[in-house]
Amino acid sequence: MRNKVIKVGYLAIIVAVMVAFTRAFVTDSQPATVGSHFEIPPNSQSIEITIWNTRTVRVIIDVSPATSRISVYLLDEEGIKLLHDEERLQPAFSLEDVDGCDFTYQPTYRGIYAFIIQNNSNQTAKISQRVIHQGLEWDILQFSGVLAIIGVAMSLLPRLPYPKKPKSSHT
Amino acid sequence: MPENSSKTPGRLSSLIRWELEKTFTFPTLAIIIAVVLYITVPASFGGSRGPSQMPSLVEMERSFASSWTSALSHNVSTSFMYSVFIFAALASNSLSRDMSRGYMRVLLSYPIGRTKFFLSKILVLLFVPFFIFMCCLLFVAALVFPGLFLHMPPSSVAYMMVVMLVQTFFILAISLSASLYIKQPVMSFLASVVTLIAMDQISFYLSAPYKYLLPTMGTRILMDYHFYPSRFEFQYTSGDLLMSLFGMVIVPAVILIVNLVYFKRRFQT
Repeated sequence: MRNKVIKVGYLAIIVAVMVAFTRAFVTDSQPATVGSHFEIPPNSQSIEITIWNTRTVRVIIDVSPATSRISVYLLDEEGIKLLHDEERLQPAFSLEDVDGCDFTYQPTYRGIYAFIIQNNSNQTAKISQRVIHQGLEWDILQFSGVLAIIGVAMSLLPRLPYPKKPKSSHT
Repeated sequence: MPENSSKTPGRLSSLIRWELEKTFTFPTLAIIIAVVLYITVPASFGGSRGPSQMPSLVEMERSFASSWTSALSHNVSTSFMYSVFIFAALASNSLSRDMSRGYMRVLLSYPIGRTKFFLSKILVLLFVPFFIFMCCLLFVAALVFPGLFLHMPPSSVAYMMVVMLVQTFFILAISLSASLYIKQPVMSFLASVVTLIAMDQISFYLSAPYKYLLPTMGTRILMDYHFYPSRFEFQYTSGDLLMSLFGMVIVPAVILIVNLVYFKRRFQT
């Protein structure tokens, strides 16, 4: 039993190291860029639902013609739920009445986010959007850290010299 | 002559347990897990939708979870090259090493049925790496997008597992054959690797129906059939699918049956 616990501990350390180095660190050197072009009719809006991990996101939105004005709302899962169920807009990040934007956002969780881009002008707005992901995946690193600590504990604790229980003597 | 397996006391479950403990010792198991994690963990997925109305969160989760399962299915065909090395090493270590060191002679001198003995090797060498691979794939699915993991369609996950099993079955059949006939661990490992990689490369250059007989083109068509039906209708015919099933399921099954018969009746240590 003791040897099995030690071996499971070693396996946990191996899993932690592999997960950290193949995911959290490797992606840091691979910035991923996603681009899209679309049009929004006058006084209308566009909804874009995306799925993000916890790497830092830089969003660049260019609008043409330059006289167009847009509002950008970024909704997290709670915001999406509120908008769908109660029709209440509660964005995690917003920029109103701008002619373009360049902002950085740190997603707080892995999952679904929604972009709402409103065209506030009386002309069709041509949107050019770029989303750049870069940085470490901190949640994976935290997970790997916890797993490594568990692994080290499992591989070291059974080696400690525990005092043996004295045999009870029945007289 | 081998004894009748029905009269021998060697139970299949005991042989499986023995094979499991002999083959999957700590460094081997650790290396396999590390390699499989190296293949599966970088799986990426970045979907987006542009609906006219805001759908409910559950609808979005289901939709993305389905796409996430499709994205994970790519790992099955791309894992072929790594699986070749894993299975070639396991088969040569389990079979050729035993023959070259004389363990097989000692083992077969005991009252153990040859059929059960060979079947125990096939079951352990097929299902244990497959189980490790699928566990790692599900672990990655839960690790990367935990919110989507519970919404992944069970039928798609099951289909992905079946195709993975078919691919590993093919690799195992070739590796086990090389180990059985060459009887020398290093040479059988090299022969398995070269043969399987050659098959993989040839599958890219063969003409349309025949290239689906071999992995990885055979694996791809099986995946596209379920995960990308529109692409399947556009690119393939039902004959291609049948060719893939023939090459990936029936041929390796026949190879293993021939090996079993050879091991039972002709094999001399």
